[in-house]
Amino acid sequence: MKTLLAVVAACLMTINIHADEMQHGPSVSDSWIRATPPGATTSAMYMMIKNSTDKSMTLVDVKSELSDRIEIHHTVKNDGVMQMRKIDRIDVNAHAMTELKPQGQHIMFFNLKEALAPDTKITVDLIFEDGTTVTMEVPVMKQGMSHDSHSEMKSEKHKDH
Amino acid sequence: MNKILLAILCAITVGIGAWFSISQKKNEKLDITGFAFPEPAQLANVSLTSHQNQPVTEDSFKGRWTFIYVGYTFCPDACPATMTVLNQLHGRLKEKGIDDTVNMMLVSVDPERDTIENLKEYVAFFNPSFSAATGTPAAIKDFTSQVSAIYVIPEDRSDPNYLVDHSSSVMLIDPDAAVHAIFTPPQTAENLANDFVKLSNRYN
Repeated sequence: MKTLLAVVAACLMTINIHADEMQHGPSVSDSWIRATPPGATTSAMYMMIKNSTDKSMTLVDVKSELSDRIEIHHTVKNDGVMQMRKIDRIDVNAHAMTELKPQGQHIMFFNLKEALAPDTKITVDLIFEDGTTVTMEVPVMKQGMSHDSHSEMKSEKHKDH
Repeated sequence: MNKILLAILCAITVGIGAWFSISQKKNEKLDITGFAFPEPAQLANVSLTSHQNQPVTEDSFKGRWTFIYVGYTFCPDACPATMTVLNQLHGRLKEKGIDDTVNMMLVSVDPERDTIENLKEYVAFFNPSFSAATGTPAAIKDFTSQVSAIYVIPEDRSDPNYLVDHSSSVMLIDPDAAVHAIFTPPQTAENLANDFVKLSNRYN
């Protein structure tokens, strides 16, 4: 009987953990928004969105008090020309990650109410198609930890040898 | 008499040899990530205005190397990303002990919104030593075609937040004011710096 109870308890715990993950929905990491040069009224925000649920999730909108016009954009290179285009959604497949990165998919802010100074934070809401809202603080940075800054660090090390 | 003849012959041989080795050096195939033009074309009839409100002509490019990026300050993604790479490149060239005269220039193709004052603040944000230039639509069109850059300003500009499609390449102008090389994305500071060292060594 005791064993059975233990098994049931273990099952319940598993379900619980599973439910936690389900509730968790999309999780966001490595987010940053580009600091703006004086006078600039636009900026772009980047992040990694992880979907640990069993269902595909779709980012459809982003809100922030800093701007009345925030759009999902995609920069594409077409015959050597950079074309930035508004897109309606970013899909994050079940148990998968989608990266928003410079010169790729990103969130574009227009009409910024104030300049974005490095080492500050802004608050944004990511709104998904199923109604899930993720509120988060996004650091303002001059540049992200992009591949290039990684290689920058690598080569610095190199120099020491 | 014979001695003089011999001396002349020697001089001619050395001269031909030197000329040959120089021309060989100029045509030497380099292993670079960008594309070096076999016959760099001289800039001509350049008539732009700098971020310091000074005229920019083909002569302004003489005597130093210049990396050029064609963009606009409203651009939130591609332009700041490339300007950041140029800033990293600037740092790397310094590390390599290359003198600080290499110029980094943003040429704005959006003079309707990019004033001289905007440009000045914009480039200084990335690096105080960076320069910028813009001009009349005709002057910009002429200059960008000389450096193999293209851009499209939308005809409908009723939305003040209009977007501009533009080349994503970085161009290198040599100290003869000729278009020397072009680097298509993805550009990294490391590749640009290594390529620059090879190109400038061959050039000198």
